[in-house]
Amino acid sequence: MSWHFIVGVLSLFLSFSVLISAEPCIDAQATSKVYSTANVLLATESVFLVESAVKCSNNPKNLFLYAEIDGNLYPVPKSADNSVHQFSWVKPHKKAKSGAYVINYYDEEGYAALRKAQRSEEKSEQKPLFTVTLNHKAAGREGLWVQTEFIAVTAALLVWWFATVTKNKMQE
Amino acid sequence: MWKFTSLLVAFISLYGCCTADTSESAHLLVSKRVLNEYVVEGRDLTVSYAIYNVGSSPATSVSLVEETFNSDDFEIVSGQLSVRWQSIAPGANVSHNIILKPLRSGVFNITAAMVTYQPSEDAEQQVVYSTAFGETYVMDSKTFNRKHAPHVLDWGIFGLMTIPTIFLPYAIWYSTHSKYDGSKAKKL
Repeated sequence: MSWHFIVGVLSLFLSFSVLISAEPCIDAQATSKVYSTANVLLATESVFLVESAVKCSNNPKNLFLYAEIDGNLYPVPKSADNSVHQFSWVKPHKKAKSGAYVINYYDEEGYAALRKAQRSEEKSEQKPLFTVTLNHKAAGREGLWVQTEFIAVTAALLVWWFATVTKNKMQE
Repeated sequence: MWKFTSLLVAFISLYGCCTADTSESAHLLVSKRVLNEYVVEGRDLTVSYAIYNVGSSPATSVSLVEETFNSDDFEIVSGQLSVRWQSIAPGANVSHNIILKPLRSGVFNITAAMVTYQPSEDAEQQVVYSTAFGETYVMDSKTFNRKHAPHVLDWGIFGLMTIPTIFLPYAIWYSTHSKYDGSKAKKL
């Protein structure tokens, strides 16, 4: 039992040392491209997608970022050629409300500091490397708010009703 | 007392079995979904991947490689076909999404994506394949538009064309009628 415990502690320590071994990113400059689902017919759920090309003044070798949205932290994968960090998530259409979604990005130092603050339930002063705002317009149908067929039928009925009323008046 | 010790023994053996069994390595499960209700030529196709670590140690150097969508038939709208994660914690899941645009209609076979990872510190690299979506029919844009497009322009033109046949006779009738109506009103 104790042997397992020692191994557990050791592996924890090892993973922690791996975690903090990466270099931090200084003076992050990011250019981001965002996408979110607009058409209900084409996707059964709403997808939010942020692609960021990040430049750091110190050119860290193995930079992996973490994204924070609504207090939750997620690891951000990056492209095979290391150029783009892509953060994306899926939500049901009803929960994907219109509005601005603010995503904060942290490097591993920032991530560790944030996690520490979260564990001790303090408010963290950690500043994000950069922030991306995604303006989402809730997914809907294309075109007008109602179906065009409905508008055409309503217009036809209105014309017919008006003609009948006028005709009845004349016959009185 | 005897019961208690046997329970304790059972508990210890269970503990031993499970920690020994699970502390060995990470184990990843990968799902791949197409989120579209209709897959249409020239319109967004959303592919969503989810990776779950059901093992009990973190999976490191995780990389996802997607080779189903060749550039002749699909254009990338947003997202990266191949990505890497530094690590996926045990019990955690991560997701990845890409948006593509099919360039022509027809039947395409959307096969599995490949994920490679390091299950533990000095283990060999492991390869897993995602679930495959299978054969997918990409609808041509004409059929899709006939069924689902709002046809605002078409209905607008139709409306304009009905105006002469309805409102011209009405306008003529109204002008003559108002003359007679006016004289009637004067009499009263």
